[in-house]
Amino acid sequence: MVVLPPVQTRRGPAARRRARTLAALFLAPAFVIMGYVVAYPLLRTFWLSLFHMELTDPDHQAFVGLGNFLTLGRDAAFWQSLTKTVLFTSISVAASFAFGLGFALLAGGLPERFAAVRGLMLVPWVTPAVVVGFLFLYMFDQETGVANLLLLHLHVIPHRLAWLSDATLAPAAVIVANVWSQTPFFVLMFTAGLTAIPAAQREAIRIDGARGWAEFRHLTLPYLRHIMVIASLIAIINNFSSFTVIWTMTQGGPIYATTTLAVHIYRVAFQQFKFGYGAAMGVVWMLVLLVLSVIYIRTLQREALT
Amino acid sequence: MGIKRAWKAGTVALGLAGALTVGYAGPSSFAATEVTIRFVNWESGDHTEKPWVDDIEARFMKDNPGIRIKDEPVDFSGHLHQLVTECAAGDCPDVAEAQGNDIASLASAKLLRSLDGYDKAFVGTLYPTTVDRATFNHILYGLPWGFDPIGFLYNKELMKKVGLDPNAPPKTIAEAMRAIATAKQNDPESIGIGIDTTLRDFGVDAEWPYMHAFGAEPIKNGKPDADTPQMRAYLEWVRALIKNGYTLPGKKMGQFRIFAAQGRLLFLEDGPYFKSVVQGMNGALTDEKLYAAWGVTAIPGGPASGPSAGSSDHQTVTFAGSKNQAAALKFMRYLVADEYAIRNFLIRNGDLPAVQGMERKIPELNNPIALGFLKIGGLVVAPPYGPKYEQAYPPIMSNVQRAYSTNDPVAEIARAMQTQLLDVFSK
Repeated sequence: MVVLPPVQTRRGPAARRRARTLAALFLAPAFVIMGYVVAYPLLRTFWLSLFHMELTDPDHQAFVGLGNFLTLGRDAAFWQSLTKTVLFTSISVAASFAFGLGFALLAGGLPERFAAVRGLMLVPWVTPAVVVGFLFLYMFDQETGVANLLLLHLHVIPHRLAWLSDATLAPAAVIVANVWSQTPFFVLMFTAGLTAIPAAQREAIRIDGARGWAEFRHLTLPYLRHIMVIASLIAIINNFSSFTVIWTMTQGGPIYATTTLAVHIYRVAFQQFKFGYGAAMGVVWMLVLLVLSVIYIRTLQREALT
Repeated sequence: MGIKRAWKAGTVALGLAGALTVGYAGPSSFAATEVTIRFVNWESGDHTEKPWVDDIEARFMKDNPGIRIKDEPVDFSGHLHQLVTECAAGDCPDVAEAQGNDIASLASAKLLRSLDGYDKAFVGTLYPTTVDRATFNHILYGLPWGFDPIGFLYNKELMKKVGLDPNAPPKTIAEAMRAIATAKQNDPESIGIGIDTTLRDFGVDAEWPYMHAFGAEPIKNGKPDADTPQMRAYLEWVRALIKNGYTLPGKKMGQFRIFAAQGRLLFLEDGPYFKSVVQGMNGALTDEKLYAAWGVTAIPGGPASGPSAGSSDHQTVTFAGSKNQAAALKFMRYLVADEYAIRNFLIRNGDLPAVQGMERKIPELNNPIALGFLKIGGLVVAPPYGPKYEQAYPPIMSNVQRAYSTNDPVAEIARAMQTQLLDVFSK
């Protein structure tokens, strides 16, 4: 039997300095890229938000300090878009959560030979957002869409509905598209959580007579709780910035019914070229997302400890 | 050590080979006598039109060996945004396709090169209305690439089928409404009229002739003027169209073409490119069948004015920051006036040439659709393009949408449009 000498675990100061320098060199390219792609745009946006800057009026650009933010406070369109964002996000996340949990529980009960079904459930999630937008744009088309065809056939509606031209129906149509796209994310998260439930515990609770709702409440729910919180927070942050599906389907219409904050900022900054004002909105948007992200990170840390 | 020496030898050999290759290419590779023109346009992003664009560009490059053309395809709806942001980043192209309010926006941003004084004799050969669309604040900024009035297409076959006289298209909006009512009664599956009511600047472009028919001008002499009886009358008309099922709300002009290709659409506002697009959708629609099925007339008049036409002319512009302005202008002129470019792109695309009298030289232009559009070209009423137009279109079109998607009183809607426009123009 060969006895190997013990591994040298303690390093001298010079070796530690070399290791730190090497680490810094390896990390430097990533930091440079992150700085260029993330830090510079952030700082530039802060700076732009302090100016009255319209690209189509270059002669009247001026430093206005917090003037753009004060205007924002009085801008009804901004607050309406923020309200619509909150509604859109909360309904989308709640619905995706519920469907995702349901499908995960159903899929979890499937025999192994149906494992492919779980894979198929992920298809909406991997479909590019613009494709999802066009898919539902055509599905909800008043004349040729399958939505009207199906509902007419089932006698749910008496005549074809103008889904994307009605201020009440358009938000619903957009949310349906969004939920279809987002649900697999929750399916994936909850499926991972369900597979982590120890088989022994499941057997034990069944021996005690708990089945169905009792099993779900006393076994499944406690195990999934932390995943529910984390997944919901991630989904809220993602949905807050949702733009592609909405823009593809309705461009924020009709009558701004589907104009969320992301759509409103796009229109102000990139169609009206009001870069200063758009930047101010972007700063506010970023602060809201920052708060959500801090909540997410703290929740993650708390869940890790428990 | 042998391996290290081999690697060193290989590296040196590769370096020498590279140097020889570069050197053998000759001094012309470094002489920079060839210029490359970056051309931003939306045609080269379309699978049907791209080959035509490539063809005319190849011909230009063959005739001008020192100039290369590099296409940059953009989406039609987002092209202005792309141009402005490219230029804001200091990366303006050399030549770009423009349409609608683009020239006003780009000129206001001081991005375009003025063409004032450019070959007045040549400019004089172009249709005046096309030159007007390429002008902002009395300064010429572009060369018109295509003369595209928006007219009123009527489906002669469907008119006959539903008991209307195919040779008597409506001249007024009231006549049009009566014709649509007759069509819907006799063929419920038909679609009465295709109009663009989308929440975009082109929505205003397309609706302007109808507003003009009612005497409604949401922006008049550079100031908001939406709260008028004329605007209320126009909004009532739009509401009636949708509530009666005479049109499909919230659709782009182009989204009605599929119904036209199917023969289900009675009337459509569209440009001369309608022909090529609809024939692309329905391969069985030959020229003869198309001419037999469709006619062109002016957009019906109304209480305030006679028939008119809209404008969807395209222009080519060059940018103040372009380093290849001579080559850019040469290319722009080629696109606009060269007979090969006109035949092999504009005519194929269904556009009309901006150069007057080309129908005498190009037999393909002597067809009922093209001649119909040429005839109404003098009736064009264009919206008041300007730097505030991009901010003004959302209040205008969102309130048009409010008129047809709610039951709110039109007086209230017109007032809201006025209030929102005043807010835009006060900043």
